[in-house]
Amino acid sequence: MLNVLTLSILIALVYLAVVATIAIVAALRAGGRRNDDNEDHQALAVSRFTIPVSIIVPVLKPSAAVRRTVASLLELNYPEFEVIVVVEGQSGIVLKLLARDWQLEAREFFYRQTINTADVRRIYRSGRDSRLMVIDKIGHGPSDAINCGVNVSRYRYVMPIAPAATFDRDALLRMMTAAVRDPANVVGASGHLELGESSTTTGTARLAARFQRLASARSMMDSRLGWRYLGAGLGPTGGVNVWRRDAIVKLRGFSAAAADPDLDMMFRLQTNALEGGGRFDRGTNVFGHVGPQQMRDTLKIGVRRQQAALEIVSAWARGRGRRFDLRTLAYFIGSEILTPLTQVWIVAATVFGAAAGRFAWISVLLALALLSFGNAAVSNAALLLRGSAAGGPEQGELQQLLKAGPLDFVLYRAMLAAARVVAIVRFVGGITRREPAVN
Amino acid sequence: MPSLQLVFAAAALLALGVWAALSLHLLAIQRRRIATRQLIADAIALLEQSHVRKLSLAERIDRLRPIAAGASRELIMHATADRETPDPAFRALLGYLTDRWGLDTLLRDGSAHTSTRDRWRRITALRILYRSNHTAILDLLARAVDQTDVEVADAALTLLGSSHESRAMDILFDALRAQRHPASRIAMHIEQSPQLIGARLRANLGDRDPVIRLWCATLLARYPEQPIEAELASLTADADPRVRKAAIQTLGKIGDEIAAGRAVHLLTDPFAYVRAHAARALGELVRTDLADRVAPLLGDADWWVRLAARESLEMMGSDVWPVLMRSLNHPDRFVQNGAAEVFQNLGVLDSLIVMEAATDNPGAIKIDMLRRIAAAGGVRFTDSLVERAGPVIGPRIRNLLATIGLQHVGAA
Repeated sequence: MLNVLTLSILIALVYLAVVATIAIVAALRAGGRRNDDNEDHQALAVSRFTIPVSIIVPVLKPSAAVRRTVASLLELNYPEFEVIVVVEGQSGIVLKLLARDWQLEAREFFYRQTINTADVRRIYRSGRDSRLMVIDKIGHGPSDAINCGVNVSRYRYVMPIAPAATFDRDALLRMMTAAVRDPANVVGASGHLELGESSTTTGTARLAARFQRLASARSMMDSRLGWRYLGAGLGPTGGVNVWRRDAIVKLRGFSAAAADPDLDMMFRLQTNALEGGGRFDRGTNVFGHVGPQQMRDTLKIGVRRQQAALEIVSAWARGRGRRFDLRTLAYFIGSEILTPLTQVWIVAATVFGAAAGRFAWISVLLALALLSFGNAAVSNAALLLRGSAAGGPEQGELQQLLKAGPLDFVLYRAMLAAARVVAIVRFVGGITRREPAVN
Repeated sequence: MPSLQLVFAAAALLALGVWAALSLHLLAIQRRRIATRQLIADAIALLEQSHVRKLSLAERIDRLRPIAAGASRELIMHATADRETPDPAFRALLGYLTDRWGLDTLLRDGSAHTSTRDRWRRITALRILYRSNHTAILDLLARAVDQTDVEVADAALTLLGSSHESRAMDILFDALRAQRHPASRIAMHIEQSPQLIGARLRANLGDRDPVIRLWCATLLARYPEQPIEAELASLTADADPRVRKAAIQTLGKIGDEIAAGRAVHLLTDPFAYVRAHAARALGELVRTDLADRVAPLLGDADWWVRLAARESLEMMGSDVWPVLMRSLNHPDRFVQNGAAEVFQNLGVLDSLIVMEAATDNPGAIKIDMLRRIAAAGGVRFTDSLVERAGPVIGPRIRNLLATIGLQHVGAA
């Protein structure tokens, strides 16, 4: 007779097999044929009716990347936008760099402080490009910096973007697709920031970068096969989001207490009765790229994302957010909580069974092999879909990614799983002593 | 009952097999992709050779046949629809496409779709048929615009917006009326149309549908030569605030005397966005003489109106300074702040203070003026002023402000 442990492992296996089969079959059905971009951005790019956007660049620590990002932003192919750089805390070096590049001049700007933030020390305007504004403020974290940018922003949509991102000139046009198509209902939309290799990475860093590239491809597959068919959306980890300003203001801005302020805002926007609807669109477009993340940062993001997911589920369970689309919530729980935990459970239960003498140790190795190749097969399905859009991996990179696939589970996702477990322990144990921000 | 070990082993083998099969599939697709790219490049290069370009269409298609024999229909459609494909090559590719698979197939592709892949075919077929000026294209585009599928409708709207056919404009106007897609999206294509439609827009200013009235009024900004000031002026009294806003927005761009009068009237409109556009219109008309009517809006209850008033006064230029000076005494703090900011942005403040800081005997009137502007601006305002002046003049300005008791003038 099957014991409970074996039964639980078998159920978990069946669940993962079903999820993987659905993903692979759907990817194969969608096909790997190159789908040209059906969007014609030419008309949008020159029209005075294209919705203007305020781009907010929060700078939380001194970084030379800000210079490149600001220059790239001001080169965007978009009819009307402004760039608001919010420099937090020790701002001297960044201000000096930007002042040199953009002829910054201290100019007072009287704005509406609709969201409470830490004090602004000085506001600068560029003598070279009137679309650029730089704010020097007292450091109070990323949410506060973005909220400050929202206060100062002039346009209907705001888009915070990290200084490390690189993107092409049409990135904002792609990003605004959903908002332009349905301005009355779309309160936010997300695009993907692909993690990838940089020419300077070598050895284990290069391998880690490949794992991150696979994670990006899986996230895009998630958007393309799952999220686009749902009534509501919750954006991908580390993506770029564009928000409708009035909705953000109505919810009193991004929460400093939330584990993941973006995810928290997406949930709140879709569970509060907002005038003119409230739909967050998880897009399938790639906004741009970021270089490989340090493993430490990846783990931090993993912990935050898991905590944020638990906060959302907990808030929903406590009745705060009954308006949220149930199918979306189920999909979110499945992809963010259930699937990774099922994988953890299979490994943990098999190890426990082997240690207790119920299974042979070879079972543990077989379980790892199964999960590694199963995971790699799903990654391949994601690469198949990624290849059908512009910017997909070319021959050489594709071969490297295919080879890295089976190692991903043991070398990369194992660490992410550990981060998730830490997040769960923290959440359950109340170690963070932080009230979930979602309401 | 099989043991767990056996289950794991069988499942791992299966997963390995699936992974390997998918890997091979991916590599095969990638190889095919490279080959097709090369095929297209070869086909275009062949068709662009000068001696091939001189051949008749039938001969060019014959030349293409051996290269394109192994290509799929979608690949040929892709190459044909590419905007970068030169016209002679487009004609030859289209000829090959219709010879091999038939024009009916292309028309069928362009008329309906069910799956995602069909949608790509439909959009591509519409682009090809449009470029070839096929007689059925406008019907197909009209049908596409009627669809709720946003991507197909977008593609159709784009093609209609670039058409020289007057029926294309009829379809766009029908779409505007039907409101199946965002009006701004359709208006964007109407505005970018190569057709001159000023008279048509003017004729629709009295339409029963306020959406049509508002977009016709907005789009007329492209036709300054149309004698429409009086008609637009009458729309500034429209019952729908969106129409009033559109009318005054266009009058700000192409209007004159009547426009200024209507804009002044709308400065007290109950709708904030109408007031904001009225203020901006006066700025665009550079009606410095009406600055005193705009200045009170610096203290409007709505922030966007206050911002519009500031921008309007800045557009009017430095001649508005007497009005701004009076605003500095306004009991409303917002009005004082706004006036100070306009002084700053016009450069009046900087030139004034630099001149006074440079002299040993600053004039009493100018010092009073400085005191009032700086007091209206507040601490950060004066600090910004000192910082802006730079390391040489900045300290002198700080001294000057200190001597008149204004280095730190209170809360902003």
